[in-house]
Amino acid sequence: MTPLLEQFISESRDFLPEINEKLMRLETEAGNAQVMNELFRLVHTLKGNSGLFDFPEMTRVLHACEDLLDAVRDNRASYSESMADCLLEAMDFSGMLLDEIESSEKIDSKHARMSVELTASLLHLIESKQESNKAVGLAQKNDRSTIFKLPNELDSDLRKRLYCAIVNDSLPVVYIEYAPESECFFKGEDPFFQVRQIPEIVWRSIQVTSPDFDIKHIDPYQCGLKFRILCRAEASELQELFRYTPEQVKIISLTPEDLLPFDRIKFPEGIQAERTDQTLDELGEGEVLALTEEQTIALREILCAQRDVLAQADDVPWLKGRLRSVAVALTAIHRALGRIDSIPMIEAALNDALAHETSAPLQEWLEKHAPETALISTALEENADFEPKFGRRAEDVICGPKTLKVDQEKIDRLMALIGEMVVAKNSLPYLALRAENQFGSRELAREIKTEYAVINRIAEEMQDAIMQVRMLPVSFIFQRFPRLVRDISKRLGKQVTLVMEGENTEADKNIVEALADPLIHIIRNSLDHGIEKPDAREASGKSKAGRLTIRAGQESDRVVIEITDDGRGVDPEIVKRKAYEKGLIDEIERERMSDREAVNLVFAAGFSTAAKVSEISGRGVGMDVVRNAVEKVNGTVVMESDNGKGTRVLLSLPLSMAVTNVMIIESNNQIFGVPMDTVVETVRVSESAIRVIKKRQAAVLRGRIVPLLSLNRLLGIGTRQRLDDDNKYAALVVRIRGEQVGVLVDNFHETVDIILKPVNGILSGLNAYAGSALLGDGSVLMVLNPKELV
Amino acid sequence: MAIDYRNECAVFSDVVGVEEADGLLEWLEINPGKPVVLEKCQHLHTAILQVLMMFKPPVSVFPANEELCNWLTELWPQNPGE
Amino acid sequence: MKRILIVDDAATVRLYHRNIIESAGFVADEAINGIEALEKALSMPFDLFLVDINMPKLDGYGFIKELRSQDIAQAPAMIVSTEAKESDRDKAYMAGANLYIIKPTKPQELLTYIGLLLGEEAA
Repeated sequence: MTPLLEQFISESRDFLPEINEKLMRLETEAGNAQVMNELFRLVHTLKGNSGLFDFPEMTRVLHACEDLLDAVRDNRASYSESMADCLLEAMDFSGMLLDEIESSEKIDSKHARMSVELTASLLHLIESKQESNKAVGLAQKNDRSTIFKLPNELDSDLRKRLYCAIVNDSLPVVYIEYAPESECFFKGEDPFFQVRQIPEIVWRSIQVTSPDFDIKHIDPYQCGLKFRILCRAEASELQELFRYTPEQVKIISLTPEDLLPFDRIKFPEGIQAERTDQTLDELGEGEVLALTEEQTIALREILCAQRDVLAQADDVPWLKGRLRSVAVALTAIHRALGRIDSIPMIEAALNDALAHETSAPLQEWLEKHAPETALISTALEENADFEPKFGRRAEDVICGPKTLKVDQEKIDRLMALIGEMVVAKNSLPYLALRAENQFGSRELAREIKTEYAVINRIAEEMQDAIMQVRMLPVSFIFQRFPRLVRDISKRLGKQVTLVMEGENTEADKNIVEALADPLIHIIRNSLDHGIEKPDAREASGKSKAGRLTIRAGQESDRVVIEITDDGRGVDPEIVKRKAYEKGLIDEIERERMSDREAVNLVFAAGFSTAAKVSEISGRGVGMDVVRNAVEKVNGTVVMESDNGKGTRVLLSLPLSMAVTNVMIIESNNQIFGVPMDTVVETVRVSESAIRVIKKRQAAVLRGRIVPLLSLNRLLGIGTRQRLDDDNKYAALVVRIRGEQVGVLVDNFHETVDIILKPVNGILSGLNAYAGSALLGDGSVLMVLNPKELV
Repeated sequence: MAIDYRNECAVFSDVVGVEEADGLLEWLEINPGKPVVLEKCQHLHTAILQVLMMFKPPVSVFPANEELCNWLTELWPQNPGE
Repeated sequence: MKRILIVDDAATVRLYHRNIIESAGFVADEAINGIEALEKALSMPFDLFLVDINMPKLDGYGFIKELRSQDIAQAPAMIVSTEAKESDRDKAYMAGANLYIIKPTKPQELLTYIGLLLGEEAA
């Protein structure tokens, strides 16, 4: 992919969400001219960008969007919800095309039809009559359902032959009707050339369609022909051929029936021009048509432009500047032509013009020398391979933009490298230990430790710096929500005001991306089950429109997201009953459970409060999906509800998850890692302090009863945990879903920073492990996942 | 020039572009019935094609380019005398 | 070394023009709107301006008008626009642009204009 195409894709990706956001903003602030202008500019730029490439499907749709917005700006059309729908759809379509461009660097011609349809529906929204005929024309073309008749001239023999070809040999037969627009020559099109590219032609006809073509009134620059062709190529191939002008061509794959009947015999007698006698509109002299040598055209154009500039009104404050620039331009082209002798004359004319503050002297000079420049042009024509000799390559400073867009892969690579460095650095303490124990050099050991401290600091700073690069504002996912809320609430017949706060809160890219799905799920849930229909809301004394607030913020090293709605809330009694019915809780739990705990049962697997399966929240895929997704990135989710008044869902996630701090523990002569964020404390419990409650071991720690579990048993190892010299067990207290559990191990070791790699292959099915990591001495550390283990 | 206007005929060669349309139109107006020689012609711009279709001058030699010839012979019923 | 300032709010267009300009051995600089372009034009000389019309803050017409009225630069300014309307062309010339071309332009075409407007010897 060329850097230019990459730039295009990346810029377009920035534009689309902005356009979407503005389209929706206009729904509530229809008259906001600033938003409108900004929107127009974005669409205009996007269209312009796409025009640099060969993406007619995209350019066409965006062009129609631009036309439509222009019409709205000029009050020729009024902005409406259905218009917004249409424009949003066009943006979705463009986004889809972008995906395709990104993966294959081109657009499949199969999208041409969709593009034409979208364009038609967009243009249709422009109420103005003179525009709508264009739209109607578009809408009818390419439509198999419109009844069409094969040309009468087709003789019976040919029909029969083609009929057999389709039926017996299953060869495709396609009918093409191409009516180029009359102005097409001005766009550089040559329809005849186009149709000559059609392969396997079996029948052809060229007709004069323009009703007013006759020898007296012919305007050769107005295309008045219609081409009809039958060929044996695939329709897709032809669509590709006519992809730039799909609205002017009908491509129809014929069925055998289309070729019936055979009885009519009328031989195609050449193709007679069907003449009528209206007159053609007079067309202005087409200077655009001069298709001679490139430089000559450029030269003439520049000269014409200077003439036009000089013809502008003189009474502007910037006249002198304008005159000077014209003189500079004229001087430049004369120099380019090697006519240095003219330069003093231009200068004289300029001085004259400046002195009298009028364009006249320059104009006169130009007129006088016009014939001369014409001579120059013919001279240029003779010298056909003339090419400007430009200077050598640029060696000067190149001023780049202040922000860089960097491919994510590059950042990931940097991240992986720093990860390796963190690990490598961890080998220094081992080295120090060896220096002291094995080689008996305490001094060297100390020096290594000092160096380690320095490298450690730099590594930490580097790690921090790269983390910063990976930080992404949550607006990256928030920006999709207005559209989501709009579409869903519309479908549900509810009114919802969405409020978003703290969109600038940043977190690691992976975290932000991991947030998207759970958040969407929570929002859907709120809209579907939380916020009531307008009449229900009114009945309970609330405002018609519900309010959904999504607030993001940072709390120490965690990003916290709060989703609040003022809907009907969650009834803890109903939740409890349901959970009981589904066997998620037993009788005792049901009695004992607080309302707060009850509400959070919605996150339990296999729980769904919806009375029936709804389209929005899916088929009973409960909120447990949310919890799983959030916990996967070490986050937590809690729900609070005020019955009848609303629900609040609180998500808390780490800012980053690239580097994990783990504590190394030992059990059965193996070492394991335990993520520090789950570790509450490490304690030593004497054997005598362990009690057995309901066949389970527990101990009283800091006034609380903490259940104790043996790691060996959890891992299915038959050995008992080892006691230390004081007859005490090492207990690692971890927090799992808000509850403390003591895990008995053999011994504790130091904590280390590691880059956690997911477990691959056969082991990936083992949920007991969160992943593995490489240690400084080259050994592999298996990191436990306490949540799954216990 | 892709069209060489001679006394008794106009000879087309190579690719005849849109910019020749005016000249051809003029020649056909002044020289009704004089033939065009298309033997060496490889392509005609649509604008040229429609001017020819209007005036229907006799074609003394059809293009050697077979594919182009197929198109033009559809438009000019073959002269049996040729 | 001839310096050309590209004034366009679309990064893609800027890159497109930069590639073309640098391929011919000229130096390209960029500005993302009229204001930034004025600042650049005030701080260093340019031999040619390649200007888009529709830009935030200050559009192409406004930029060229400022350029001419404050006599900041006399170098030719070329408008590269998607608008083919006669009125836009007139507005550009009124403001003091020296050429109005319609994008997208082919690289060779653009270079031809640039070469001529920079007075690079043609023969």
